[in-house]
Amino acid sequence: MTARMARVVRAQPLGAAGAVVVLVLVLVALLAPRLAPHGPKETGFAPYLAPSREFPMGTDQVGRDVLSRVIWGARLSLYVGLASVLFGITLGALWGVVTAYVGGAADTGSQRVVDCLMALPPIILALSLMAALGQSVNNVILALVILLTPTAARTLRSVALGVAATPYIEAAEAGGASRVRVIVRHLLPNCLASYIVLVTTNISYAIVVEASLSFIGAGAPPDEPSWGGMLAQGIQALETAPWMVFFPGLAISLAVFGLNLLGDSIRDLTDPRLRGGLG
Amino acid sequence: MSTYVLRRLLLFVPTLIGASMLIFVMLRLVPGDIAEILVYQTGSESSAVQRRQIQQIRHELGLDRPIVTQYVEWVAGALRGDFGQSYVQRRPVVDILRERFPRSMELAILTLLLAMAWAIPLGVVSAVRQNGVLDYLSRLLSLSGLSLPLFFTGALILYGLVRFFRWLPPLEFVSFTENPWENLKQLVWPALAQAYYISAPITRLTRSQMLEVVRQDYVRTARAKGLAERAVIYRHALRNSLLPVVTFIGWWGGRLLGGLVIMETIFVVPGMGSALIQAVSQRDYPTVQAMVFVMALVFLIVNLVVDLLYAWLDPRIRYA
Amino acid sequence: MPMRSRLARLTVRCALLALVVLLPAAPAATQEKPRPGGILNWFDYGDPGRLDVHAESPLVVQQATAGVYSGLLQYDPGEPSQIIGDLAEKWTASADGKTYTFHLRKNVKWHDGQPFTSADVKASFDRILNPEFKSPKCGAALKPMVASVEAVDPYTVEFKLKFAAAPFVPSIASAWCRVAAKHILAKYGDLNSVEAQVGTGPFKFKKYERGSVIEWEKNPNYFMPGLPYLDGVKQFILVGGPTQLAAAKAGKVMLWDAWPPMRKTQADELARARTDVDIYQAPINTVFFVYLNAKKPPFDNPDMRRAVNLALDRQELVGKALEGAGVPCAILDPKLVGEFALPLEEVNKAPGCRQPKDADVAEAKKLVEKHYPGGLDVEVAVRQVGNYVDRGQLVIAQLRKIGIRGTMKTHESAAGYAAFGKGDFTIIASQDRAMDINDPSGVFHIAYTTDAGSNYGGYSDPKVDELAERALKETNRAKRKQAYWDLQRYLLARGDHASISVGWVEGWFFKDKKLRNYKPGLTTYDNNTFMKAWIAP
Repeated sequence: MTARMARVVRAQPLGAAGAVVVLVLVLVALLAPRLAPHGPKETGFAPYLAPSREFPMGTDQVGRDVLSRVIWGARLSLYVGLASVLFGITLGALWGVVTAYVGGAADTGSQRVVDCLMALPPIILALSLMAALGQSVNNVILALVILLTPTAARTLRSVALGVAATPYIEAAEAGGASRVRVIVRHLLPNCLASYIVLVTTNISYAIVVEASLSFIGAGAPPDEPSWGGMLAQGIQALETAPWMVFFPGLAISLAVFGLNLLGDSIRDLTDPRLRGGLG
Repeated sequence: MSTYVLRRLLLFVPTLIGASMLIFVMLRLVPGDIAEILVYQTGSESSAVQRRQIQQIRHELGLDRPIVTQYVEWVAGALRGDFGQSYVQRRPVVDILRERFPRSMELAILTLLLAMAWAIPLGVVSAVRQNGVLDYLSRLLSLSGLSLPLFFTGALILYGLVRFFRWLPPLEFVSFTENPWENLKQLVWPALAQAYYISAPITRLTRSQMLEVVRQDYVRTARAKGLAERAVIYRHALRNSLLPVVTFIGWWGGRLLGGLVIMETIFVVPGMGSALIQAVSQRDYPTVQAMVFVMALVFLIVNLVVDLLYAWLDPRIRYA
Repeated sequence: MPMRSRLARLTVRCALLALVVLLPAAPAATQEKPRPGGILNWFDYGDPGRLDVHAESPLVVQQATAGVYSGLLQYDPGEPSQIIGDLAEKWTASADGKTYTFHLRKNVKWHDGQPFTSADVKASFDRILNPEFKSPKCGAALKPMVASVEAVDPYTVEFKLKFAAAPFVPSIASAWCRVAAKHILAKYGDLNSVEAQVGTGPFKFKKYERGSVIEWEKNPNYFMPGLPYLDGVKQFILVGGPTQLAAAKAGKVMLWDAWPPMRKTQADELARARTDVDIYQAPINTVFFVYLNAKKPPFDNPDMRRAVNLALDRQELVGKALEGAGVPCAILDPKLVGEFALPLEEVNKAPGCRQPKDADVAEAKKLVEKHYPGGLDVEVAVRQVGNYVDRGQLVIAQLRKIGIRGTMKTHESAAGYAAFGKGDFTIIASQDRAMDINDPSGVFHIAYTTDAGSNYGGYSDPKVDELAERALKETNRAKRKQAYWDLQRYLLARGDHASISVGWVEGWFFKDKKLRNYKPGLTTYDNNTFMKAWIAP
């Protein structure tokens, strides 16, 4: 086991580093209540305090401890990223795979729906959704799900089309397997690799999009400690209090790097054509 | 071929109807219409007067009619190329589109060019030196673009230009035809930021395509023939691996028009994105509907063109 | 090349600086001779879209057209607290204060060359006063007061009032009550288009590149001889703090004197980047309100409103949320309306306003416990603009001390207006309201009387209505002052109103040191015609 891991690390050092970063972020998110010295919404301190022993990342414009907000932010941002991606990509994957296999009018119809959703400018879609539903963390997730689902449906559909054309599936069909069985037992497992890659790379996409939505006032409620929201507030004091953007910015970058490197490695490892170095 | 194009064009119709209906309904689900905004935002007159004024404005704009009637009327107008009057600017939306569309198109094209110039070489280097230091470096470099939200990169660019060069891109928009140099001086910055942001997936795709193609038979043959490595990579591998990359870029390009919202706002480019976001916040329904419609149409057309281009470049693909 | 010329300019500037330092002849500064020429650059915080100053209410509309039009009267550009003539050379009031006669300037020409007469004034004000015409600023101010407007002869106009009203003259001088040309109104129907921007003001409307820039150029036939000094004014349309601040730091704008003001951090950043500017703190004639919904539980109960009135720590809110830039607790700001404002020493002794807060908070807590022994949960609404969310957080923290547990509900900006206008909220933690005219009457008819347009909480106290009405109709200055003091004392003593003034908002602004003869107006709307401003070399 360890030997195998060592081999993976040697073959995919970036991926391994990504995995470590992701692991740390997840731990921070899980342990946020224990790690954070203060509450994320606690406003009692002086504003714009520079980093010090007491406030290692300084305080923000209303006197909140930036460190505590960054820690709680891990929980919120990962929650937003994970939840939206799991829902969105899973929904899209099922949709794509099923319609690809069923084919015919259902496929053509669903393709039009996917086109429709993808043709709408994403930021405007999210902005109007947030305005219509009201600002809350769960509504941000819903908006992201609506952005992610069609992309996933389209990608997984083309993957599933490829899989469905293989003799392997034809054999299963010839053997008298029901459609549902073919989808569940044969098609879906074969699309798993693409699914995992989509999930890992889109978590960071979701985190960054949430940040952009915060900037135009349609992200998570600004008192919630989302990294993107902190960045959006921090740019108003870029020079006076650079720590307000530096630390959440660092957190976002780490998350994006970690998740993408991990995703890339999974892709490399699962795609036999790219296995080059691992042999 | 022409029947294929015709069929694809016909498929535009349901998509456009769907997209326009979706935005039509969603806009009306957003709380507050222009009448309420105009009246409540000012809040100077007595509440009875305010209520009367709201009714009056709604009536003038036809907002008091059933939504189905409104939609049918909108479609009827759109078919004639008439997208109605902007509620805010009180002039034909078509005029607004005519002003704004070319600017956003220019920005989008500039962005794509810069993204390709930056991301494809990175991907090639990365593939050629697979698992080497250069591979890691270029992958990290392209990922770094993705790792910060665009508004932040944009704000940093503004800040940096002022801080270190005491210089700011022009605040006044000048069209390319009027003065190309002034125009580019303003547009190159948002294009750079946006290109940097979208480069990661392009680099990744170039890399994996290159890796895949390099292992294919004809490349092996070329190598076996004793062609220089350089020639193999550039003449054979790159050309063939670029196909999916081009598709991907085209696909991005189609969506890019709507993605420029934030860059246009920060760098004061009076394009469709900044107008659209303003129109949403002012509940200027006709403007939003028309702009979203145009963006959807561009998306579909670009997709079609990319598909045709793909088939033209790759003789293996034939249309049924 | 540009590098070298910049260097050259820098050298000249240094030389000049040395000259100034060497010559201790200080009085020169006060007696400088205005220098004609130059373009003033500043900015609008948004794209106006429409340009009809009679029909619109956003500041950007007024700012976009300010220099194009003249009013009958104006706030003196040299001394903004004084009202002086503009198109009217002089004006008189009848003994009963119900008839005002304006004597107009002769030989004034519209920008298109047509002569200006009293018919234009009548056409403009008939339009504004038309009950069917939505005129949210000038019309809203004048409609309750003015009965009719008559052109007595081509150069005399008479306003008949419904009652003798002290705010009449300040309203007529307001930047929203501008005179448009009768023939232009007849031709275009409104003042929205660029073509319809024909005024009598110091500048002509030159260019409107939507979403980008608005330009005026000097009106060579302006009726004030020798004015304006500037060749033109350019307003960039800059949306958002980062862009606005970057433009200021890079020296692309010479002036920041409109909404939104700079925050302290922005002002500090600017001060580090530029030494050639004067940065100042000034009131923006705006009140930061907290609203309680008096029409539904729990705040239909006066005790609960009183509890919040007692508990809110205005000093802390101004100190933290406004970074100290504001006058806490005042219902009227003495800096703006002088003696009409209740002296701040008295205000700061009132329940809820006095420091330390302990006794008031304890009492508030008792009031809440009386009705909600276990405390209560409420939704605290803010629109997501500016730093309203930060303010909301502070308000929630303060209410927690008295057993009111608030959760924040943020609204998209416009959706928030719709909700508040319909009374769809429990508490609004932060809503700024700018005054249209600088007159003590303004704030009461905006936020406190039953019928007031921004009385979102639906508060109604007949006594407040009556006191406000009496003060409005009082023309004797001393008695009027007394009436407003009575009203302020009444509100502070009752302490159960639903529109709670946290404070009068101030902000930071800057002006390029080369910009001369410009003084900020007392409202954000006034004094941006730049009629007398000039740029020193």
